[in-house]
Amino acid sequence: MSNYFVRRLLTMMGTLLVISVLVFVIVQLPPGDFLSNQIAELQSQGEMVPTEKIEFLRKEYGLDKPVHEQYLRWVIGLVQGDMGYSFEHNLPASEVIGDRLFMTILLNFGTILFIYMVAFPIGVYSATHQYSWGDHGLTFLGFLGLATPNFLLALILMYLSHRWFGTDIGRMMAEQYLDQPWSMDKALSVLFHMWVPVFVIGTSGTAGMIRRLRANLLDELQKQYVVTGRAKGLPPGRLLVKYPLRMAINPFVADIGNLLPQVVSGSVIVSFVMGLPTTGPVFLDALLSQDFYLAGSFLMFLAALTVMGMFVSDLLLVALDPRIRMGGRLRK
Amino acid sequence: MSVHTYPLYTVLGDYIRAFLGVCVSVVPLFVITNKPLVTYAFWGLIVVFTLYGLRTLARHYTRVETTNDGVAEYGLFRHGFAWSELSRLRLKYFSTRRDKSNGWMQLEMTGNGRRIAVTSTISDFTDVLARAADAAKTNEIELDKASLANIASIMPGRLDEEAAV
Repeated sequence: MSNYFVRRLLTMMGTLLVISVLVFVIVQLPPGDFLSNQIAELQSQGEMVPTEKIEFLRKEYGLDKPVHEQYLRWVIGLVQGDMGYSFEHNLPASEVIGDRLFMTILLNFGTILFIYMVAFPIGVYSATHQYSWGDHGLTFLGFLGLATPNFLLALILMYLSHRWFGTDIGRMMAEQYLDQPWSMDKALSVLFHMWVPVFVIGTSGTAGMIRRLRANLLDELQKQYVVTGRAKGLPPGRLLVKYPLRMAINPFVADIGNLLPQVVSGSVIVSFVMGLPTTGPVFLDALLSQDFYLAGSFLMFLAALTVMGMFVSDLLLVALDPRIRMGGRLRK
Repeated sequence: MSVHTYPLYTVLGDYIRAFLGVCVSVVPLFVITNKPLVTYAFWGLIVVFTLYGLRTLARHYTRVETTNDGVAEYGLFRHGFAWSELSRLRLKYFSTRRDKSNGWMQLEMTGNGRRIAVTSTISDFTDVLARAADAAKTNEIELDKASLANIASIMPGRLDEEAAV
């Protein structure tokens, strides 16, 4: 296991390094940069920008340096936990993101917890009660959840709550706590407001998870070893938990890696719609305005989440089922 | 009696990985100046890769001896047990590739409170596995499905797969 751990750790580090190059190239791909966009905007408004000022700003932001130097400066900063400087906000990127990063992590952790807590029992129930009324009902709800875009669900919920209860369910906390220091009341307010975005963002993920777990468990339940177990008189509950469920849970665990970035990127539009103070809206603005450091740092954050998620899910998978697969070859 | 060792070519990759890991983790320490938390993370990585290098070194000089009576390991620790004392056997498969190819196996044998683990890169691995599998069958040890499938992939028909349930 230690051998596997070290190999995966090395692969993870190499992958992150390659991703950092790709992110840098992708963010630099659109023609021009933040400064030339700003100058073009000012000129379109009829304002003249002196050449000296342009040169000064270009030097100030490090945009006059060769590409590889800009890359190194950015990567070294990232390693030090310095996310760079936001041109648009005229502040360090870490200050722009500030509390939003904590809110994003809190929201997405809550969403992932919600997805697993809801999907797991429903998936198991649907598979063990195949074609029952409960299975049909939950499958229908699952399809509904899969087919409904998150932002649409957010809009519907906001409309309904406004129409029926006269309340606004957007935001992550009550208005009086905005820009206030953290206190017990503020934390409770966040918890009270969080369930709506968690439900909205988590619905499609939950539906997908239910479908996958149900399909996997049904496959396993029809295998011969389960029939043999039943024939030998194993109690149904023990038989289910000890054998087919362990096998069916593999793809469930393997999804952790995909779930993290999906939930984070999926919450960008929902955050816009519901006015949530997460990093999503800031990221979208940064991409639109070519705010390189801010956009690049956010993309690296997403990539790191993906790679770390994959790392964790691979370790869990190996611990759960260290079995040779079809087509697998043994190195000697 | 048969003697099994890890020849240099089987551990060379692990030495290189340990060295690379230490290098990759040391370099950022030269550019990090004022963030102690990040520094600790890289020091942690250095410790992990150093321990891995030392473990590889220990494995390189480990010798496993099997006889009809038992198994013994001579390396960092010297211990062994008789086959009749074997109480647990697991054969795990590891691969870092998505298609699960080019992986390696780890055989874990426990008996008399001692645990001996060998990987498939050891010389004549199938001999060790065959002796351990026979002992597991004689001692009527319940094996998990993964171990049974792994044994079957190397030695088809050696153990009954229904023994898992």
